[in-house]
Amino acid sequence: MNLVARRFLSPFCLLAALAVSPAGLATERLFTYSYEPETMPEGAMEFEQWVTLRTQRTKKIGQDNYNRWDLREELEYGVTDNYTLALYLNAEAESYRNELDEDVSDFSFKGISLENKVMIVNPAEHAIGLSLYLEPTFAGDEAELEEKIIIGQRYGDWKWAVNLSHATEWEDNLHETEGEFEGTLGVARFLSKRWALGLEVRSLTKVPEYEEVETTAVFVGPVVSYRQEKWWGALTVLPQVWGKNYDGGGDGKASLDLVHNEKFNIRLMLGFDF
Amino acid sequence: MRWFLAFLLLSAILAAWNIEAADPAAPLSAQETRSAQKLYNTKCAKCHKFYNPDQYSAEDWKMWMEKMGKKSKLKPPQYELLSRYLETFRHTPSR
Repeated sequence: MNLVARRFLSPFCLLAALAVSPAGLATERLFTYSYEPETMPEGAMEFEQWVTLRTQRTKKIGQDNYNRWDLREELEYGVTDNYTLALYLNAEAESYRNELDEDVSDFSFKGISLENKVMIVNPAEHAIGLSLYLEPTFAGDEAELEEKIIIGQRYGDWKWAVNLSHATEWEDNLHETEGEFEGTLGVARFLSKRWALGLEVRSLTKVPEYEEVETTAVFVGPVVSYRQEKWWGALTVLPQVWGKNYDGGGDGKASLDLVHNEKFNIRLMLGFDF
Repeated sequence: MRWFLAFLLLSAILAAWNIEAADPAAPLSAQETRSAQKLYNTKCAKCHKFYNPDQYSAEDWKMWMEKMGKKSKLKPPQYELLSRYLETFRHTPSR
C-alpha cells in the first residue's frame, strides 16, 4: 500500500474495526437546533420539512393553552462542496386563550429566507470544522438577518456541534429592532447505522432595540435521529430548564420565563434527497 | 513521412501508457494519492468515518461505492480515482 495513504488513513483504520455499512451524508442532521459544519456535496439537492411546536406559556399574561407551530419548507442545494444555498418558506400558526376566555388563533405566512453556509475548515482535515452562516429573511413588514458561527467534529460514532448566533429582527414595518443572541450545543452518538441519540442545549437572549436584555431562557433535552438511504428524520424535545424575565412582567415562575418563551419547544425535521 | 510515422508510433505508445495508467489495479502515483486524499476528505470523511474495504466482499464494496458515489455526486474520474485509492486498503491490516 502507498506509504502516504497508509500514514494518512491509519487513525481512521483504528475506527474501522466496528464498521458495518457505509452511510451518512452532510445533509443528514443529528440535531435540529444545532447546525453541523459540513456542507452538501456539489450538485446535491434536498428537501427538508421543519415542524416546531412551541407550547405552554403562562395564563397570567393572557396566553393560556398557548401553542405555536412554526413550519418551514427548505430546498437545499450544494453550489460547491464548500458552499450550500437554501431557500425557505416560513409559516406560523398560533393559538391561545386570552384573559376574556376567548380562543384566539392566527395563521400567517412569515416570508422567505435564503440560507448561505460556507465551510471554512473541513472537519475531516482539521481538529475542528468551522462554517459561517448567513440567513436573511424577508416578510413584507418584517425582516431578519441571522449570522452563525458553526463548529463541530466527529469522533467515530460520536459527534458534537456548537453554534453561536446573532440575529437582528426588524418588526412593525421595520420600525422596531430586536437583537437575539443564541448559543446551542449538540452531542450525539450513533447507536446503529440508522439511529443516533443525543442531547441538545439551547440558550436564547433577546435585547429589544439593543438597549436592555428582555429575556434569557435555557432549554435542555434529548434528540433522536434516524436515517435511511433517501431520507432522514430528527426530533428534539427541549423543556425550558431556566429562564429570566428581565422586564418585570409576572409569570409566577421564579425559575422560568413563560412570558417570552414557552415551557417546551419540540422540533421535528424530515429530509429527502433528490 | 518517416517523421509522421514515428509521431504516430510515439502517440500510440503514449496512449497505451495512459490506458495502462488508468488500469484500476495500477498503483497510484504520489500526485494521484494526494488528489485522492483531498477527494476522500471532501466527499467521504466530511460526512462519515472511514470504512475499510477489507471488511467487505468485493461485491458489497462495489455496491456501496456506487450508492455513495451517487449520493456525493462523484464525477466518473473522481469515482475511478477514489475507488483505486480505497482499494489500496484492501488486504492490509486495519487495526
